[in-house]
Amino acid sequence: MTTPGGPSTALHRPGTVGEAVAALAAEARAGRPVELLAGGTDLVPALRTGTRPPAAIVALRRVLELRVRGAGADTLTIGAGVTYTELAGWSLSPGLAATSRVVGSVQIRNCGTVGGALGSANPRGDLLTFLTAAQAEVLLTSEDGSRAAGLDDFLSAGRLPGELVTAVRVPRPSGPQTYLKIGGRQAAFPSLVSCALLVDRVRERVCCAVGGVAARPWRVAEAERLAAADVDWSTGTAPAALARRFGELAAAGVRAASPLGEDPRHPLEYRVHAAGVLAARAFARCLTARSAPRRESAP
Amino acid sequence: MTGRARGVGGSVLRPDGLAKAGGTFVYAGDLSAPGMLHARTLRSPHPRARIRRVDTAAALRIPGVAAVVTAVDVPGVATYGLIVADQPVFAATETRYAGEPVAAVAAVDAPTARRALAAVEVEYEPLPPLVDPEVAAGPGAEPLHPDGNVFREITLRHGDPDAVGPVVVEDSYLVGMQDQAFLAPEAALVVPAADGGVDMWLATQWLHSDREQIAACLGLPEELVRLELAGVGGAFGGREDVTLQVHGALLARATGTPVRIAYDRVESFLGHPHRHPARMWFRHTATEAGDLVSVHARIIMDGGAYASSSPAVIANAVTHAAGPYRVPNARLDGLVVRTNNPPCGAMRGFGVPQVTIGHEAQMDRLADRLRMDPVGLRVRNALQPGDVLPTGQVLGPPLPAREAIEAVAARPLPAALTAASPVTARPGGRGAHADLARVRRGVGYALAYKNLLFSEGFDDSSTARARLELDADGRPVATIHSACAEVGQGFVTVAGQIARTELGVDEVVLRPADTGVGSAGSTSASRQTWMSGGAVRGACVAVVDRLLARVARRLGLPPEVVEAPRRALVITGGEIVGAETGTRLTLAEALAEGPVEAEHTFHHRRTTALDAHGQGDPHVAFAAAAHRAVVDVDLDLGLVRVVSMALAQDCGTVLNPLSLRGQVEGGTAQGLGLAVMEELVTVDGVVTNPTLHDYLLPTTADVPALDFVALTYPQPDAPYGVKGVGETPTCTATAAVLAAVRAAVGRDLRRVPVRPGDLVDLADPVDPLGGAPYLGNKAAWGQPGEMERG
Amino acid sequence: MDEVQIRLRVNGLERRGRVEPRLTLADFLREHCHLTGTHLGCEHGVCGACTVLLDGAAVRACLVLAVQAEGREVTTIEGLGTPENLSPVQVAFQENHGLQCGFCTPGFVVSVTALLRDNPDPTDEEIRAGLSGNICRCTGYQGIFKAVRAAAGNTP
Repeated sequence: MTTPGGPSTALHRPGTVGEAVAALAAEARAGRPVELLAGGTDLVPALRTGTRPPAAIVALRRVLELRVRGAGADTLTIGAGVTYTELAGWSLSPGLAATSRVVGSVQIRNCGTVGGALGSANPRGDLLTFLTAAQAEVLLTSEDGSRAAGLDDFLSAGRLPGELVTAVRVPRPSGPQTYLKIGGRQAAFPSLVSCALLVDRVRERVCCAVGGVAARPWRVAEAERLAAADVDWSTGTAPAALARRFGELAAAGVRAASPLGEDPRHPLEYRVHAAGVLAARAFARCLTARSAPRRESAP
Repeated sequence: MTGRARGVGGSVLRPDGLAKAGGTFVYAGDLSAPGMLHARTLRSPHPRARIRRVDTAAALRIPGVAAVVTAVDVPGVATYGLIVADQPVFAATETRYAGEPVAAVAAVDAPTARRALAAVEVEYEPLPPLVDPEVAAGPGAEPLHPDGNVFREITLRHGDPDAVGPVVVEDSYLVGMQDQAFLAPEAALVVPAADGGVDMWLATQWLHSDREQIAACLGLPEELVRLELAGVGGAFGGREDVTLQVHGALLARATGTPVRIAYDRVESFLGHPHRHPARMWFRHTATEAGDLVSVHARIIMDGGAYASSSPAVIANAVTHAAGPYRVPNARLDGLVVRTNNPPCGAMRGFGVPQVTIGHEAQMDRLADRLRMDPVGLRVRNALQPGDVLPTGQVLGPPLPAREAIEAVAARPLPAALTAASPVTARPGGRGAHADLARVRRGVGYALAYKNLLFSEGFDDSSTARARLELDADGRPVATIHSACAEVGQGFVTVAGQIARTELGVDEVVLRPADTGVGSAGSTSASRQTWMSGGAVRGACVAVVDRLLARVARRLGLPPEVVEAPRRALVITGGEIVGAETGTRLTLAEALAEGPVEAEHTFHHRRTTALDAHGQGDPHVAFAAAAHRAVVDVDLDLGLVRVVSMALAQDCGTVLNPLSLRGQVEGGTAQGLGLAVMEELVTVDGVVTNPTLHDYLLPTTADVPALDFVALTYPQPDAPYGVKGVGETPTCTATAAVLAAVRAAVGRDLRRVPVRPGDLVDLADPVDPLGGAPYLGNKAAWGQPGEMERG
Repeated sequence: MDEVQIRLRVNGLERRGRVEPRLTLADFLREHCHLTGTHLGCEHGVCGACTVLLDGAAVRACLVLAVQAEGREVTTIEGLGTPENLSPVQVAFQENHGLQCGFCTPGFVVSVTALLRDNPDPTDEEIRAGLSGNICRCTGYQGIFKAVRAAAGNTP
């Protein structure tokens, strides 16, 4: 049926993951383009302008299973429907909390969800950068069953038709974590360059990802190797010079990656530089004697 | 409060404030009419293209589409424009900027109209765009329009053009394109009338100019085009040009149905002219003692595809290029050029913010060279009334430029950033966690002056009507009718204050601004309080004269009192009192006989056009302002936080201290935005960031409190001694922030907005100007050899 | 089943309607409920002019579909007070010149209402951070800060 507003859109409002994947499967079988609606921060404007004209929308707010977060012995599982506001105060994951606190504005944090961040897969996305550093797994469910995918694989391959992201899983923190980002003003800005850094004092390693420079959040492997080798793991500290070196290696690492498109205001040269500064700063925040072990907390 | 307390000089609250705070104030986009259609505009994606074919048939077949109009449907003049009618209502054979309207659609709802746009078939033949103004103005450049590529060139020569002082500083500066970004996108409701005309409710800055242009394009007499101001959500110059007015009227007439035409934010960015990007070269020379000897400047502005107010903007830029300083010898050249970039026109400051960035950077550079204090150098050279300006105009009083810069320099400085300061107070905010040891503070100053009202011989005027009568309860009530566009600046408050003061009544009703009364002129050029305030005051004075004369006649007072009743009678405390004549009656008694009404048209003093050497008496008056900015810069990341702003401004008599503060705080914030974040970016003529997600505006976290000093010397030829106040702080805020950043990082800055990459050491830095002096020996200029002589 | 029947409470009153699933809450409020105080400044969730309370949380009405508000409580600017009986926050904006063109004002008032409910005595930094998702182009924010402090009862 065609209404004046254009081809109309069917709405599914599942109450469970089972109903949600059933709806997705039905639409997939019918060959109809379908959009998943979570916080709406990306999809709703695109629906209004017609740039994304799905035949069906699956609205996920009523799926309470998706809004659960939990802690296992080794991992944290965050439901796809969990909002940034909920994460911003979560003491079990200081890194996720730090990341969520600097996403958009309070009104965006009240709506935006983990699943939405994965679905939109904005290469500068704050959460995506943190989850990359955190080596997150994405949990997906379809009528055929459930699976876990590494974040990288998920970003490369995306969801299969009929699949729903139900949660992400990250290791439980075993050391300081931080997330730094810069942009065009003092608050409520989209990330220009960002850096997530997690210290794992058990496995004696540092995981660090940079957003906003490469075509997707980029792990800086050389810098991570340096940290693993040179941090004093008995105290979990490192000298200031190591932070500088870490930043240099991070910048060199991300410079080698396939770059994001140019913005004349912020040339790649600057973004690479900023990535190095943020990486050194994140390293120092988590590992210099003065501040370690540091927990992210609201000032 | 009584009428007196709510009169001129009081911090009277906005009469529309309760409705605005309550959400019931009606903006243009809130209006609806039964059966109304929704209109949208189709825009060219190409900065320059030949249009081979436009086919609307498929769009018209979509259920719910009522009409599609294109260039062939324009019955009257095919073009419009504020100064020169060079902009097509719809592009017919060629598009000249990306975003130029090609067609408009009316449909039963907005989504259907959007779909119909996609169904309009336009066959474009893209042409290589000219996006560099120097290329477009240069020899051999292809004309982009029958009118040519140069909107205006001004060559100002003053004093001895060859005079030079022993101390010379020279550099070039680049200013990006700022958008007004008023918060309510363009909207209008157009209703076709039974008499063949149209009635339109819209958000605009100048109802009568709109009407003149709309009527010409529709081929209608002006009296059949009736406009009423709807609620306006900000303007800042961006609503001075016609945008959607003619399109909406064409659709309403084509369908015989009311039409709501409205832009979303992307369309708003594409739909109205912006602040001109500028490339500027300056050479200042001075004596060893620090007295300016000469200023040479070349200013090239990119006007974009159509003229808009470019010819007036460049005149402002050139005549203010030397700043508020005594400059005996000047060579100031300006050129504003047509390109395939988006059109540029009016924005708060109107050409002056750009040159202020240049002349103030030069003054700092000169102070450095002379090892003088930058404040001291400005004080030494500041203009004083009686001085001769580079145009030859003699500066009239008052102009407390020296006092302004001294006043801001005397304000206390903010506390240093410490480890105890919240992390949000560091440059970059919470997420950047700037290293305190690598945060450097900078303090910078800027001084400027800005013309008030329209210039260059334009006989500007504003008309208002006042009526005094008894309401249904027998109380005196004044009604004021002015076409002045209230865009947020507070004319509605001030008009009421003036009426209360002049008429001695409490109750003032402001009729909606519409074309049923004479033109009030534009809400721009810092002119409405002076011009329309003058008109309201004049109308009220005439009402009082008529009322007193009527009273004198009725009471049988002597003929000399009837002829000049103010000599014997006054209105005070709601009464008409005459001590000599023993008169005492209430206003209500005096009005029992019937209402008294008068109309007044206010003119400012005449000015003159510029002659071939840029000489004349072009500006009615000026206001001066000085800002002191304090910034913290993260030296590693090049991020800037503005810590504090102090402003001393030449305000004339203050009619409403609360409104004044709102204007200068808002003007400061817009200047701050241009300094550090606001830039509409084009790549090959296409705007790449037409959303508020990517065109960043200052937030609550970016704008510090304003330490404000009002300098209140009355302007002799203005009503009550007022000066316009809205634009001046925008001119200085940008330059002051830039100076503070320069002081913090210790390097020359040539580009506004400042980009973080300009403030840090990069392995491969980009010189924004590709080597200075940028404008040397460019063939675009009329006299290519002249640079060498200077 | 393309249009969807929805039922929600807006400013305490039950509203029903048949809507296209793609209709935003902002459009629903403006066009169906004629509550035009919820303004659209960017349609992108950035400017904050469309801020409303959804089950008490400040959200962008331009980022929420009307169908997502099904069964929920929406409070718009009109629900915070009437012109004859404005809320303390609304009065504070008027009295402290926290508005000029006024287009951003409803969004600010709703955000401030939520801010002060959760934090009745905010510091200046908390006010700055809490309101950074609402853009004002006219005032330079100083009148708005004064209004917030006045509404919080700690007028300087």
